[in-house]
Amino acid sequence: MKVRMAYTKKEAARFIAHLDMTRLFQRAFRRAAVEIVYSEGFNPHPKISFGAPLPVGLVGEREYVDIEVMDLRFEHMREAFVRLSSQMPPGIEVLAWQILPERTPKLMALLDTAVYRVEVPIRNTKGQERGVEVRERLSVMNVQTVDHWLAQKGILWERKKEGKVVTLDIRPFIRSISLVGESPAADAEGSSEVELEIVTVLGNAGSVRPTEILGAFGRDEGVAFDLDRARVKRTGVYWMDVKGERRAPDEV
Amino acid sequence: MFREKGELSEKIEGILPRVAKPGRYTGGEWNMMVKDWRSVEGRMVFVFPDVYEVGMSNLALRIIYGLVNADSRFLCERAFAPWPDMEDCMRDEGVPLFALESKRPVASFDVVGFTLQYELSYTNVLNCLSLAGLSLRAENRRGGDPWIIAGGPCACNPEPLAPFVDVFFLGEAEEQLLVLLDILAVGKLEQRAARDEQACRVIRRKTLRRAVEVPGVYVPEFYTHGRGLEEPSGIAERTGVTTLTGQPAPEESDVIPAVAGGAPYVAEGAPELVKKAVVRDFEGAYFPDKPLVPYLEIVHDRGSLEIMRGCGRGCRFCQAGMIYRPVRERSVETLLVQARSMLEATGYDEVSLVSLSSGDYSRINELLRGLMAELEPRKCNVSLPSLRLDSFDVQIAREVQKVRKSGLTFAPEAGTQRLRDVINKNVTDEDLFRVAEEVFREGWQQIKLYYMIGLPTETWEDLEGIVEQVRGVLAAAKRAGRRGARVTVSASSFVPKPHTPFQWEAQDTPETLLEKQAFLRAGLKVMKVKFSYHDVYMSWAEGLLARGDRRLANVLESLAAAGARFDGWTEYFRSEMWREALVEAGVDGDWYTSRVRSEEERLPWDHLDCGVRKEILLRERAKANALVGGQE
Repeated sequence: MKVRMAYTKKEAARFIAHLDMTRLFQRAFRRAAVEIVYSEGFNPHPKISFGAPLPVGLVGEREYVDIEVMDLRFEHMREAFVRLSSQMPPGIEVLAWQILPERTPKLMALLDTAVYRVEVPIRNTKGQERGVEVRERLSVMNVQTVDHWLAQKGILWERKKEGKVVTLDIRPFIRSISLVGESPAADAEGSSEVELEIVTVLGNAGSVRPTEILGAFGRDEGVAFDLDRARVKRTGVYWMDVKGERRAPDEV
Repeated sequence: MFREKGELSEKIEGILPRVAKPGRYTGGEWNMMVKDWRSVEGRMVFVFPDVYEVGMSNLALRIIYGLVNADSRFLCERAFAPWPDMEDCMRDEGVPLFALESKRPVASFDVVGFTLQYELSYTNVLNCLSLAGLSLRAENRRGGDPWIIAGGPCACNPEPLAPFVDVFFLGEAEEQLLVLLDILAVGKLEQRAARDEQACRVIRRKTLRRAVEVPGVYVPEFYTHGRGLEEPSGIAERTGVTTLTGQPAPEESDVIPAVAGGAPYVAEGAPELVKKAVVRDFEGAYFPDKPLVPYLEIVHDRGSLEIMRGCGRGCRFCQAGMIYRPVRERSVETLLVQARSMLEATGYDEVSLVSLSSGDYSRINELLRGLMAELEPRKCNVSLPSLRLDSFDVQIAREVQKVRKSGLTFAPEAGTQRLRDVINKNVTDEDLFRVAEEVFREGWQQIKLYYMIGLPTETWEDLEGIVEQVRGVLAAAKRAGRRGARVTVSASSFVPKPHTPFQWEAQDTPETLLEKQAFLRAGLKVMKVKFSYHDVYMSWAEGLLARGDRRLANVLESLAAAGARFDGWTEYFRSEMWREALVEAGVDGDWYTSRVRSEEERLPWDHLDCGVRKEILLRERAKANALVGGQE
């Protein structure tokens, strides 16, 4: 039977590479004595499939994985869940699991939306009086500028990958950017900090990181985001139903 | 606004997004032990002077980490040499070498313990000390600094590192390390309460005197000559050296420390001959049944079951075979219990049998049957990495490799019977061809053959023998009906090691080794066999340190100053740097590597007893030499 599990990826665990997550779950399930089903064939591999990979270093508040396990009796489900929760390393918390009905679409095929929260400092590049400058800089993040920026046909971004630079249009991957909060002058240099919600498109065509979006926005609108110090978390991954409403992967 | 609470200190957290494989530096592995700093009397950090994936695979780390943490008086944390990208960030941001568990600086522990697994990690040892913000030389460190201790196989000749290390530990840790830690922890406590540095030095001396009473403990500053004991790191000039007794040093005192004649060169209270520590009760010795389970893939990513310690084969080139004696086995019953508890605690799906020669374990079939019965229902595998050709049993291989028939490795080591007799490797061509045919018939696709080049007495005929042997294995594949079988050949370069019958021999020069590699490459090319070999300059540097003395400390120091690190990694090893460092220190490297040493010469490790007496080594050497030219 297939179970869909929601979990967190926080603290030190957020630095675990996506590719290493399979092994992590495999071992945790073994320790919890919940048996994972392996594929047949010459090189059997565990039937574990993720939705959208979470980039290394990002906090995931509610990530999902589908795992095929040997049938559990209904009355043992609760017990197995408790055992499994106790075998997860710090930072990985099992939030929920459910048995998937037959023919439920795979996470990979289902998910089309990711929601991020980003806290990012903005450097005081002008070195002027703090109060005035901060307000001025924050004003670039208002609704009009963002909408205006997003209204462009395409937004080109140079992605560095293994020493090569690939130019891609990131506009199709951005659903929305909104300002959630702002705080002036957190330090002596007079920098400020904004908190944003960024919603992106997930799918086969690829994806874009929130820091890439901010990199492009900063470049075009002259905002000095301190992206090295950005704190990014993914609050959830979703699929859009026919009415265009966001639904969680457990709502299937 | 949110902020991750995690235990990473903020600076480290700030660096991690910028480096490759940040999981190397986060800790948080399953079974990690974090003890309260204030609840213990002694705090040790185990430093593995290589990258995380290598260090985490090491059985010594697993044993010592578990052993020390299991004692309520102590805690043990871990640190690894950061990969250069991380090191550069750490230096930029002023982050010192830190322990993964508490993220405390390594310099804040009471004891910093290095493991010396291979000679080319010595530059990383110094680099780690420097990254920790500690003075490299023991004489420059202060009472508030931690004790620097080091153990592992290379501690059987640790002289090149002598000035940097307070205490070496020879042999096996299980029964003596805690005794040593107790002494050092008390000493550190006293030093911290001391009035001044003068008082610290007195306590240091007193503590080290207590330490040398523990089996296996070697305090290098107690062994010296030249200007005498008051200048422990004083290096003797090559001529005109006088000893404490006022006599001129003997000629062979070029090799430091010269303890010829014993007492005059040894500080009072320290033994003339330091004996390695041997675990008496191997059956009951500490076994890490809850080993750390890493997240990123490490080199040996599986549970390790140490079935046997020591090897009775007596291959004359093999240091491990000499220094891990005597041979001791764990019982099948104990091993099955250990396997079960380890699997339950880790979730590993593979258990690897660890020993120098698993086929020699007296109850190997019984053990494997027991393990398979235990592991098969859990869908776990057994791997047997060190099977020897002459003890090879196809039945065993069939048992353990039920699922995957990927590849088998054999180590004939030399190409002719004569040379195999010289090195005491009792394998015949017939053995190899028979076994090869059998395993190909059984369905294996690939055989790896391991050889050494540059062995004592080697001639071109012996190298031609390697080519011939490979041809024979390919013919065996053909007979077994496997034309597509793959045979790969690896030839490492022989490096004479201390405490072996070959400790007096000259090492082939890099130039000679290059010629020999070219010869093999050409011979194997026509057979379309994949051939791999070692960097000859790395083997040269390894040989230099392996049989080096204290004068090489200056070389290591200038290497460290020049930024040498990860010298065990081809991509970071720079032979020019080594040559320059030798010139700078005024040391002739070839004097250590390319010279046949006289049997009368006092060797830099003669005051260290690693289990095999010199007479036996000499006898074995004579046997090997008797076979020279037997073919000519």
